[in-house]
Amino acid sequence: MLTRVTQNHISNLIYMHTHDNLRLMSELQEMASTGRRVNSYADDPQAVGLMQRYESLIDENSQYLTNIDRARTMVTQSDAALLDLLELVRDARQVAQRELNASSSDTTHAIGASEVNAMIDHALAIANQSLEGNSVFAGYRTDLQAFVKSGDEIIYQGDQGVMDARIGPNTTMGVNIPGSELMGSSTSSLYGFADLAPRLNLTDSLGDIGYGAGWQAGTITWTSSAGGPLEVDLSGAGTVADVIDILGNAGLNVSISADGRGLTVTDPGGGPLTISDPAGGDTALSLGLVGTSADGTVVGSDIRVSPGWTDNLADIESLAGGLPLGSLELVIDGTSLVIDLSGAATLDDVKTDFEAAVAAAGLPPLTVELGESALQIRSGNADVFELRQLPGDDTAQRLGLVGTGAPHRLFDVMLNLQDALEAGDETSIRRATAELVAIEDHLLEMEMVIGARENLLDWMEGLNTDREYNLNRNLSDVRDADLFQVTSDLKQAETTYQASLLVSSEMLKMTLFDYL
Amino acid sequence: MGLSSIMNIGLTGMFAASASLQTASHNIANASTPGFTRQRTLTGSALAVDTGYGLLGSGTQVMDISRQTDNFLVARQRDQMAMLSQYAAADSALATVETIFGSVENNHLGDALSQFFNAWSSLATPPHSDALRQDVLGSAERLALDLQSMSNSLDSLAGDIDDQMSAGVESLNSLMTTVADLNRQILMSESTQSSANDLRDQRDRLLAEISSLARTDVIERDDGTVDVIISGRTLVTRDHVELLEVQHEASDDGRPGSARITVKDGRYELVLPEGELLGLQQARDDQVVHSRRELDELARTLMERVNELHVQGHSDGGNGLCFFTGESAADIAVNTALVDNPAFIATSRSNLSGDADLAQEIAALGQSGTDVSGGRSMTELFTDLVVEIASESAASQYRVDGQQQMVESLTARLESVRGVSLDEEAANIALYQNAYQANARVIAAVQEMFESILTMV
Repeated sequence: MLTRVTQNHISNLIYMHTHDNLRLMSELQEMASTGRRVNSYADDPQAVGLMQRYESLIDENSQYLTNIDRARTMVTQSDAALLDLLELVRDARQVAQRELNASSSDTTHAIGASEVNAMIDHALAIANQSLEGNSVFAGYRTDLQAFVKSGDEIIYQGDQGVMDARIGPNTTMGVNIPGSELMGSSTSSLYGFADLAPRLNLTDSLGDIGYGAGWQAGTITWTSSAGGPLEVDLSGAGTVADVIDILGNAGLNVSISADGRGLTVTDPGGGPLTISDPAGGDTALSLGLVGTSADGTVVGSDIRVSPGWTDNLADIESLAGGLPLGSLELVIDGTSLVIDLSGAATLDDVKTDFEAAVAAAGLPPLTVELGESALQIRSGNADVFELRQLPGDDTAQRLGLVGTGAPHRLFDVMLNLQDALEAGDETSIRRATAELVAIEDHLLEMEMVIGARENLLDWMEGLNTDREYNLNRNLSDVRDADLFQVTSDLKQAETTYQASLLVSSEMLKMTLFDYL
Repeated sequence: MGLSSIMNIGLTGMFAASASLQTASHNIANASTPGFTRQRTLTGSALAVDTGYGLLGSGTQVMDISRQTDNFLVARQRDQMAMLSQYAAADSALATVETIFGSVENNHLGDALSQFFNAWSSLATPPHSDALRQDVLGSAERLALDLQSMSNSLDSLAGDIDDQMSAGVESLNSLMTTVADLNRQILMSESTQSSANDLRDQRDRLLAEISSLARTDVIERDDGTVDVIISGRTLVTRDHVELLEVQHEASDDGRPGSARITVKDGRYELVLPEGELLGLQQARDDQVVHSRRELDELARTLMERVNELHVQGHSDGGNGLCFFTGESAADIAVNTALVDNPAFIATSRSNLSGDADLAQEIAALGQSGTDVSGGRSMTELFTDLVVEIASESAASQYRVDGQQQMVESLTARLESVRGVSLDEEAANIALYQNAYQANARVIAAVQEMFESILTMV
């Protein structure tokens, strides 16, 4: 409590208080003009720490989004390339299947070989594409063409490198697929060449014929010695026996061919006989019956159903005369193993006996799988194995299981297919077809991998965008001023300042001298 | 006892009233003079005359014109002002350090660090592009220049503080010399007259200024002179002064080192007490040097961690190169071999064009969760540094504000004792005016008495 109050003291108080008011107004005005609550480090050190952290996290997050954009260009390009390759492989397989048809000839084989050759060149161009100067499928060797032609071979120049992109906190993602991985499986397999589809059976469902492709219900037409064209509606048929019965009732003799592959139609009048589909129909084609015969007998093409594990070996034409089966030799990792299949009565028995024998010998596991019409032996790794015939025992040959099991590469298979077509080697064409199916499966797997990567990129982009929003919101919470509050405080400070100026001027005016 | 004596009594009264009026006028005239101490005229009755039948009064006399002050409060204010000056000097230096390290709106080093590591992250992300090497180089050069600039600014600040200390010591010497001179004048003045009030006011004001620079103990001698003692060393005795000087010592790295203040013969180093000089010394040797050390540490950590990865790399013709060169923030630079040939920037240990393992690892140094030092990434280390500076700056402002209030409180109390109240002086003027008029009436009465006697003749 002061005992004396002087004019200087009052003056000092006025100076201090108006200065405090002005400083408060200045701070509020700065908050209002910058929109920020914190305008210098000393305003709120704790907030400054949080702001620094949020700002660096926002920068970091922004970089993740940039990385995602860059990585996406490569993933998208890989995706497009994979789809193109998949299309090519399908085309190649179609060529191979076409050339396995009964109507194929040396001339069509040559055309097929030429088509496959063009496909190889196209596949090479796809596999060698680059992005911003980076070879997409060369692993870490992005400066090199992934594949080059060397004589009759196509050689991979890249490596196994998988380039990572950091797309989130502690999250990296492989962006590329090395060409070695793209071109084929990383596991060894042997595709059997023997046709193990069972003979056509009267009870076979028409939905299963044509190796599962099924038939086209409808009408067929024919012209025979009895005249024509005649028509018969087969729509009500459900099995092979139904077709035979309906056509029999229509005046044609129909039976299962001697080789058990399809149907044989005979004109009782001795021919000539022509079977076809009416315009717009495919019924006769799907039953393998389109054809003309001067002697009145049309032998239909192969419409067997795909083999199944429960099929009896006795029903398989290629095994006829070779049952019971004998043994075959497996060589793997320098070890030779004789596998006895003499007890097998079904394809499932073959699988069980084979796999059990390998396991019992303590060898790396091999699995027996069933393809479209042949067996496949697949290893869990890239180690090469070999299946051989034993002297005087053609079991391996009959099962189509002679040869080397190795990883199959797209270009190797296509080159093999081209060679097989040029040589008219049906066995090799069949094997190449099976291998192309496997490669197609592999490319689909790769496509799934790429799809998963695209999904991960989309997901991380969403996550990082959310994170960016949350970080900016947190930064704003810490840094930014509540403008309503600031404006209100500023108005109040103005009022206080004006009041203090008014009171001060009145106080300074008064002295005792005015009254003496 | 005659009429003349009565008239003389009236005259003494008029003289005393006149002197008091003069003092009041002096007070009013100096009401706004900084450091002025109000004065008061002390009067006392003049010696009585023994008439044999009793003592008759002989009027009044001016005993003294004294300063109305409180030496205890003056000393306390000097001490508190010393602390305020110390805190303010340190705060000012710290505010400059804060500015050097950036601001809320311009977080230049934080941005440069983020850009540098983000550039590496882009370089590491496929598809790879050689053009991104230029980004890495550009961001690295900006980062190095920013660190150099900050280091230079801190050195400049240390130099500025040295200059301020030198100027402060010069000012201290000048003030002490003036105090010694005033001691001499007061000694001369008070040996013949009474208290040399205005000279004492001047001396008190100078002592306050000295104490702002370095807290001062003041001992007043019986002869009216004062001894000025700083840190136990008597620097002013009557009119004798021991002058001070600043001695700067260069550090081992050739950059500005610490500063010592000694008595001019150099034999005695003054341990600075509270005050602006100590504030400057602390700001320089603690805050500026500490900040520079922390900045150097940050730069060294950056160089070590980036280099230890980059030297593992292989690039076309540029194997095992350091990315940064230098020893500290002052001389950090991007290796000129890389600047001349950006292809030498290594992104991998294998030198395979698509491999970017090193670039990924270098980019990760700036990302949260990476343990660069003490479990913190590079950007987090910088954040820690900024938070430390922000905390020190805030604490410093709190200290200044608190001390300012303490000084204001003391100033108010001292003003209450020694300040001039115009109302009070107005009342006094009325009082002294009345006294003067009353004494004049006494003389007029004696005059009438003289005329009565003369008419009798």
